[in-house]
Amino acid sequence: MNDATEIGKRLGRRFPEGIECAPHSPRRLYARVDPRLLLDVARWLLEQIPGLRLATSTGIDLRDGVDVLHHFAVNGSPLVITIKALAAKPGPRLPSLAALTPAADWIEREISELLGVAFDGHPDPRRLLKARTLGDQVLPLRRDFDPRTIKETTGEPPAR
Amino acid sequence: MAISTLLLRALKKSPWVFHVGTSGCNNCDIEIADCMTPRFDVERFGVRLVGSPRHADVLLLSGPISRGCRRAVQEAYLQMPAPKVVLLVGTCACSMGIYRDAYSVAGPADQVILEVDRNARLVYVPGCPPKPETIIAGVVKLLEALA
Amino acid sequence: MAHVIRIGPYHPLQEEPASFLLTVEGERVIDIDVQLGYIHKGLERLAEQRTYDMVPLLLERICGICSATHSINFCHAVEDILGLAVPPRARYIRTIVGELERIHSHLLWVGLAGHFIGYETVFMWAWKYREPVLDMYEQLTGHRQNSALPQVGGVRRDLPEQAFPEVRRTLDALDGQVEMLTGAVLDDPVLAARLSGVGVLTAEQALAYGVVGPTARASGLATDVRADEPYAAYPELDWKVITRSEGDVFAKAVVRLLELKESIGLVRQAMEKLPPGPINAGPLHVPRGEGIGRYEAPRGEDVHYVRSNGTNMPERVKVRAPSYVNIPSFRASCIGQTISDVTLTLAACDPCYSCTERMAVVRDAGGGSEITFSDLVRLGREKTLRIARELGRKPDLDLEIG
Ligand code: SF4
Repeated sequence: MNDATEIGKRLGRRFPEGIECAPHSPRRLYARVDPRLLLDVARWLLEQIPGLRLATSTGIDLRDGVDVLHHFAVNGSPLVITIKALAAKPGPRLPSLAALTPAADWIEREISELLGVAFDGHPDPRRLLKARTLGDQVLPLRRDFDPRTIKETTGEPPAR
Repeated sequence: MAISTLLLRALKKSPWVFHVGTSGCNNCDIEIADCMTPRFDVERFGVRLVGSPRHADVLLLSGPISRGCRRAVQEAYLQMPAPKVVLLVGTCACSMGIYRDAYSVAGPADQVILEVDRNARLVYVPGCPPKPETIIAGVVKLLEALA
Repeated sequence: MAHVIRIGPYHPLQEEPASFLLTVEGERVIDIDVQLGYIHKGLERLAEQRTYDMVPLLLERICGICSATHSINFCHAVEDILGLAVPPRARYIRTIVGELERIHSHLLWVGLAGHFIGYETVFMWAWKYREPVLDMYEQLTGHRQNSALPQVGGVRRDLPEQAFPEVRRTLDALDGQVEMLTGAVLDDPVLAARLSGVGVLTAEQALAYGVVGPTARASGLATDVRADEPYAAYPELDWKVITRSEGDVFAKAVVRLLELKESIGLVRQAMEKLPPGPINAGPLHVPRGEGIGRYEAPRGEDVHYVRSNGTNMPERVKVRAPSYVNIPSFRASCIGQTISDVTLTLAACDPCYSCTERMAVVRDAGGGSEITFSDLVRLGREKTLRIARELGRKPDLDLEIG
């Protein structure tokens, strides 16, 4: 039953609109989801498929927005389900999955600081990885980012 | 004999090392720890890792200096009593290696140190990672250079 | 009254320097927070500026222990885009390299765990036995950790078969040593008393946090990419997934120790059965598309996502190392513990590198107390000593730190 095509069909039946499934192989399912449905789809997957966990998420900067891909793996099976939602520019934002599963906590913080996506409803949206000397507007994974333009707020070097 | 010469001689007998793994891939860090384990056992030469820069003669840096840890490194260096030397272990510490173009690297380790002390003594041990034998050879060279 | 204790950043208990903020009430930890970012380097962006042939060499340097992990897994992801099957000989070579890596990584962990509870002997023995493993790695690949072997479509170089007899001899010796070490750890009543019931992560918590590898397997989740999504030569070799149900630190130690044995067997079998033939699928063009690679690293499932736009460089490379999902589970496993057990619980997820006593005290501005990592280690060791006394045994503890 843990077959990409099969799950794709079930997803399509449950959410007749706003979702587009593309099985890549029996082990890989990609589904583009309307951002408004994102939470419902994620909740449905977590409820319906035993052993499902959020493996990680990827953010990709595109011209019209930031594409956020949530990759769900299923323990004990080769299946990886990826749901994609586009956070449209300007001011990209998406609902947060962190309330559904703590596994989303860190990765959403990372995407938000490196790509500038706001996650609505994230319980703890602090900075995770990016150096504290870099400003919020420095978004290193955006296409238009140029490392030469970085201005750091380091202050004076320590006194002797 | 000048007191500084005396201090340098004392340092040579048993250099105490404070290790800061800056932001390399930690392979260098592991090879450094390896130097302490039975096969290489540098403690028999009096080389010892210590827990505070205030007790150390040698500041050992591995990895490039990330923006996040640059200040910490400079502060650690300044806290060390003179005479002091900096040992840069690994290609990353020597020349930033593969991280040269990375956005979150603050600069080559030697520059970061020279920023706070223009007369700092630096010893480079390249390799990715250098084998423990190489690191030991680097320490020996360092001691020879101090003589 | 609640106190905040800050540990770090310089004590790379994990792969990177990180600060841990423990909120404690008396001896109990009531909250834990992890701050990262001291060594964030931006490798994902660098990978987008390299060709497919260069990326494995770059990703090899994400982590010093999992070097083969990340380079092989990048190849998995690209091979997923291509729908490519790797030649058998290359699959076996990847298995050998990957399992040797697992052996030296697990030995490193066993040593560190011993160090944290004050069993320096275990530390020294484990690291001593790790050396021959690195020797084998060097004999077979030319480097102690960074083999530079994996390449999209196969491996770059063949293994020198003339080195096999010697590697086999080393493996035989290692077998006995690992058995001795396993016995020494598992049969020791002090260790069992010290580690059982500490830092428990239940199966439900493990699933919710999405933890992987030995951390998940010790909580009863039988998840192992080598079995779930068989790659390399694993389906053709004889081995088993080790699980435990207790979820405590002792279970995690047991899982790793027993896995050592399996891995030694895997290397031996893979060398035995190494098929002849090409080691590479030849030059490849990567079309537009996206792929996900999974690989069982010593610390658990590693995930890579690669998107290609048809040029010779990937458009996006996303790397999710296992510790990234294992560390947040500290929130579940540390809360309610005493401070003396925290180091152990943190360590049980497998730290990448010893905190060889390089710890700087950072004063917490909010009036919190100050404690060094060495203090924590000492607390951990004192508890070991206390338990040993209660059991009427005298362990070889070295309470002086550094
Ligand atoms: S020199 Fe090589 S091994 Fe050392 S930290 Fe840099 S990348 Fe890692």
